[in-house]
Amino acid sequence: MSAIKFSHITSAYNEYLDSLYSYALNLGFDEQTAMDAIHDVFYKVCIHHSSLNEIVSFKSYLFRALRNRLIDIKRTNKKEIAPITDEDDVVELLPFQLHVTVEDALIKREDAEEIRLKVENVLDRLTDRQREIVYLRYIREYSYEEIAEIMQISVPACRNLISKSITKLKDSPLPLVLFTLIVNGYIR
Amino acid sequence: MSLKINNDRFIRFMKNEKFIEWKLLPTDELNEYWNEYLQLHPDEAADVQLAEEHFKHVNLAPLKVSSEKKQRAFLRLERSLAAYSRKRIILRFSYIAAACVAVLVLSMLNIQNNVNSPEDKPVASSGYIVGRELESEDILFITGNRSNSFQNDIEIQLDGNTAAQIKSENMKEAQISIEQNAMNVLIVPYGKRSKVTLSDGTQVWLNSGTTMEFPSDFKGNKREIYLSGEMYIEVAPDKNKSFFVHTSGYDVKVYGTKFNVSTYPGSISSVVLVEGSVSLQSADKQELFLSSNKQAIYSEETGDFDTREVDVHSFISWKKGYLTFENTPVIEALKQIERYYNLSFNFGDDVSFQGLTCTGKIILSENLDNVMTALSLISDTKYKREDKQIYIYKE
Repeated sequence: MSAIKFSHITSAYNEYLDSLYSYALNLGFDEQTAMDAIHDVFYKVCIHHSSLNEIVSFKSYLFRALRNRLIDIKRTNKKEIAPITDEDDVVELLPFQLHVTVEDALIKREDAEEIRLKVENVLDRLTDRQREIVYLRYIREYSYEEIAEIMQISVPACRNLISKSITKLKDSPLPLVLFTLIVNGYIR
Repeated sequence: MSLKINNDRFIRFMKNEKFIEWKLLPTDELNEYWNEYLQLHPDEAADVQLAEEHFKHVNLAPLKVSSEKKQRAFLRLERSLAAYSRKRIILRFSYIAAACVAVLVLSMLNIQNNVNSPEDKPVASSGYIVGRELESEDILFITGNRSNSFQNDIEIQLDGNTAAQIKSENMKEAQISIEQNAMNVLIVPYGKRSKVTLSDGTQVWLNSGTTMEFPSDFKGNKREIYLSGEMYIEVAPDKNKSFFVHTSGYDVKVYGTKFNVSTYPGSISSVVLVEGSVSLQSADKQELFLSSNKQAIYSEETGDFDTREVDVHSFISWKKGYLTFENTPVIEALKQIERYYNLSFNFGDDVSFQGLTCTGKIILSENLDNVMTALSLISDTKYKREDKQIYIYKE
């Protein structure tokens, strides 16, 4: 990819604002923090746009930059409460929540609700990082290479996280699934 | 493909967690499992395909940013970038020397104590106001993917096609080609002013610290521009194409007219109608019609407008090169001077302008010393200048 032009940035802004925004919210940040972080990311990109020749994919660069900015914010907030030492701590503390909706006019409402619950069950059994991969993979349709770049892990580590999640899905015994369903029913 | 079906056998796949896992995390293992499954049950291939198609309607947290918020966020980014280029450009001494030649005429400036609230009277103290001259910044005209910068105030004239004529003080008239279907952005920094003639003949004067977005040509049945900052506009009449000015808080609908819009962040946001008729609309509120010689002040908290009768000339005098104040709060007057001259004032805690208003006229020039004399007059202070630092202090 050649040097990023100013017009690329403007159109990228319009194209990715929504998805960057929901990514930040899924990572457990409030609206204001999300918009602030997105502002900071684009501000930096605009200022350095002539020196950003090395970027392979602008899209995944934006997601990675936003993720890093959010981690910084989280770290600063965390420091005010208690001192932290390990960088990985903060990443581990980032939640990743997904809100499932089924909008399909051809599926009966009871069926849609049942499907929604099943999808939630599957997601509930994953860790936050695994859910993050599902989101990037399923909603954003990123390749493993791009996901690895955004989450700043190696491709094998990324694949490993996924196969671990599969093992986890396999291991979970049926009664536990039923239990989750019942608890869900009570909460709602 | 058509999703119209007579049965809903595919639903059972959508309720199958192994199927859901496969759709969410398609690993080699799961691909293999489902390939085998389909080989063993070829008659179910159509159902699986339907289930896959319908699974696309399972959404995971699709959140959208409202277009108004998007607009505001984009303007904020533009402002940050404008502030950045201001910091970057190194002030040339020759520029100051040239700027200090012009003359300021201070015709009359009275300070009036607001008698309504005695507790608001200024505290007599020896507090400091520290001001500093900000570095000069260029006017930016962004069209398509190109950005043009100008050191002096400019006049832009659009011809409705792909050309923009640009006039500037120390520059020959230049022509810039613009993209026909793109939005253009003009960023006027503090200390600068510009004028734009839009493709329909509408004339817009932009005050310091203003960003305006406008199309090369007005397509469709609406004429729309976006504003952050202050402008005076004379809209060319066209009954078939209404004219809209969008700001972060409200929209102004125009019925062929002359008016001033001021919407600086952190300042009073208002519309002053000189001639004709406009209507104002903030989100979810009823349209408010404004008549001439009236000012509508927008409240960001409630989204409502307060209207009052005003002398319109004091609100549009900036475009003729002077500022008029009439019972204007000193804080507001200082803000206008800050923007016009690209200065920055920081008030000490013990310096209070609460309840102080001023009335008078400042003919704007670029002589900093004369401006500072005016400032110390209206704020009842003395000032000391050390290089680029300006200290304002109370006696």
